[in-house]
Amino acid sequence: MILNIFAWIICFIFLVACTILVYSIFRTNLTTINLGAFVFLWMFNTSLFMLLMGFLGLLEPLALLVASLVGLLIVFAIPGLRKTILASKLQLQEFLALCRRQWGKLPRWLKIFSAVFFLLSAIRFAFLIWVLPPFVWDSLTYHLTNVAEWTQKGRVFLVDAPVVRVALPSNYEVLATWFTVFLHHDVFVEAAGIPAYILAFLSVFALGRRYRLSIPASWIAAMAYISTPALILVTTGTKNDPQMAALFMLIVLLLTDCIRREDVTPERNFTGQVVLLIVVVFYALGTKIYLLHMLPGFLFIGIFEAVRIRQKGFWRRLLQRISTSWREKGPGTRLGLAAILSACVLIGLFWYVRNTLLFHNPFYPFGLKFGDDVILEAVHKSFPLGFERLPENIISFRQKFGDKLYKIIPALRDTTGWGWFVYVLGIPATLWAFVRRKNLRILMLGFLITLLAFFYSTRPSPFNMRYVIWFPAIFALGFAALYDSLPKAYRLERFAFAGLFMFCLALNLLLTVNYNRITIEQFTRMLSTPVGDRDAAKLSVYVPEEYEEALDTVSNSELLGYNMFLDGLIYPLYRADYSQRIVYVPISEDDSCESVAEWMRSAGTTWLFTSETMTDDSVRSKLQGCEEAGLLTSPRRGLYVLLEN
Amino acid sequence: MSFSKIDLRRFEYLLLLIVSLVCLYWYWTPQFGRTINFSILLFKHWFPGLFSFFAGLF
Repeated sequence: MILNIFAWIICFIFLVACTILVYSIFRTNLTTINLGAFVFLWMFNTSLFMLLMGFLGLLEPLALLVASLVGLLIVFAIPGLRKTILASKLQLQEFLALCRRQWGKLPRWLKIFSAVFFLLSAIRFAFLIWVLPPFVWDSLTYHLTNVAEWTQKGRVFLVDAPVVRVALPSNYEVLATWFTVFLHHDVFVEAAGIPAYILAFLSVFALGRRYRLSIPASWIAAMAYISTPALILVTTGTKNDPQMAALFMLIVLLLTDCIRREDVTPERNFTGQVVLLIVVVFYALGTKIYLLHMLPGFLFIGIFEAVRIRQKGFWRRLLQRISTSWREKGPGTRLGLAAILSACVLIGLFWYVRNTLLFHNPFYPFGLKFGDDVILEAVHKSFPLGFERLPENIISFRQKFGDKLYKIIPALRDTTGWGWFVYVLGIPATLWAFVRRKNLRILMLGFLITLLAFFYSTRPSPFNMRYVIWFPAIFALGFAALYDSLPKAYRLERFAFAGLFMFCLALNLLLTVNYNRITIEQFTRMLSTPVGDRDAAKLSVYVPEEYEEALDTVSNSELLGYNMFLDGLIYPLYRADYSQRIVYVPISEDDSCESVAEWMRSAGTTWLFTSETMTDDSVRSKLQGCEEAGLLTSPRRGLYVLLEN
Repeated sequence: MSFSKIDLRRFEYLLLLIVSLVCLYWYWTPQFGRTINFSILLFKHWFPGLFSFFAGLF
């Protein structure tokens, strides 16, 4: 175990060193953007490193330790790279001094409130990560199934599972594997969303500064956004939605900065910024397909921000700036940029190319329809190109608006998940800002268009607001614009708005203490279970009891077969330490008892796990029939053993 | 001019404040109960234990 922790630390140091090197190519002369870029590049480098090691079948602590040590030796052996790493110490000192200056510009009440908020948030995150195993439905069906298989087998591959969504783009899962592979345990897997949470904070803060809000106002915006219950709940929910929210914000930030900031100095590093924007877009594409839904919003913001500037020959000059900035680069930097561009194409398109080759559909298992014409066949669900879903989604949104129908939980069932701040302060302030702050209008409309693009194509479902958890950021910026415009002489109003702001954020935090989902009894049970044994199967939020019963019966030295439908919870079967090997047994109602036995033999297992709520009724009836026929026996509910005659 | 430009501006902010308070009232039910529900349970469940733990220290 000590070696594994040592390997994890060395790998972290290596990835930070790589991030410093890559960051030096992208560094611009605005600290607010640099901060976000650094966090993003750490996520990018970690995902890329894990993906490459996964391709080579070397996802295990010793191999990762050796690769990291070799990487560090190379970095420190080459004088140019060593110099860059050592120079980062000075940059860090400058950065910390700048942070202190910026922190000093915040009003006292905001400093105290921020310190308390961050402390309580950190305690909440740490407690939930440490105490609870993963429990969110989609995570247990496909996100973490990939993580478990890759951690167990030591390589990245397409998992054979009834939940076909394992084939979806998986950059998040690759990143999450970094949190499981060293300890061979899922105790820290929920922390995989924390970098995205930090990135979301930094991006909203930088966006506020980009739109000429003061430092305190931008800080208020960032604080308000990261208090959104929908974002807090999914951050440790082991899903890729917080990643997408943070990447959305970073893309908008880089896009608007590229267009709005007239700075042609070499320190601006215009080419670096443009390439970084491309890298973020590709990384997001490899994280979730719904980046494509966001494109209309990005296009709108890009085009209309340029139009608003109303400068003749804007696009020609933009290309000229890229070209000039490129020529100013040395050959080493150009090579670095080209290598990163190639890497981002790999990490962004790999999943789509693989799916095209295997299934003739880059978006597998999703399909695409235009009216009644099927463009790409769906295995899971289809996205229509047409307006038929827009009104349905708007009606569904109207019902969810106000979070009245259901409590806010990580799956965002029948709610927006926007919480106290948005409904109390965010919406009125944003309507005000739309009228009074002209420079924010395009950004606001861009957010709205992106929201409508989602409503245009996504399935109207009780859970679909989790795709748009980036949207509340516009309310945060709207309120920040309002607060910024309040004259200092209006003490009563400033006091009242600041008080309401703190009250709403405190309630948002209070609302998410237990995910609004976990009972005292469940906490007590998990706390009384040793950390190493806190299996997802033992937390019965969604997981039926027969999972735990099956794991109590089957030894982890045996291969456990299972049969589930398209949306079954697979992950709890692996156990927290990934010691349980499992295999999908694809039987159907048409199979005879003999062929059921044959399927089990060919899968190499004598055990077959089914669940009342996760396995098709027809399959369960078939298995009960086979039990009556004396071919199988059932020692526990839903668990069958093949009787060898 | 009894209504100066500054007065109107202030009125705008006060109006926004009132709207926000109305929104707070609108959002309060049933969200407040859901928000503090767990905290009350936590307090009831663990506070006696925590109290006796700290009392035991002294």
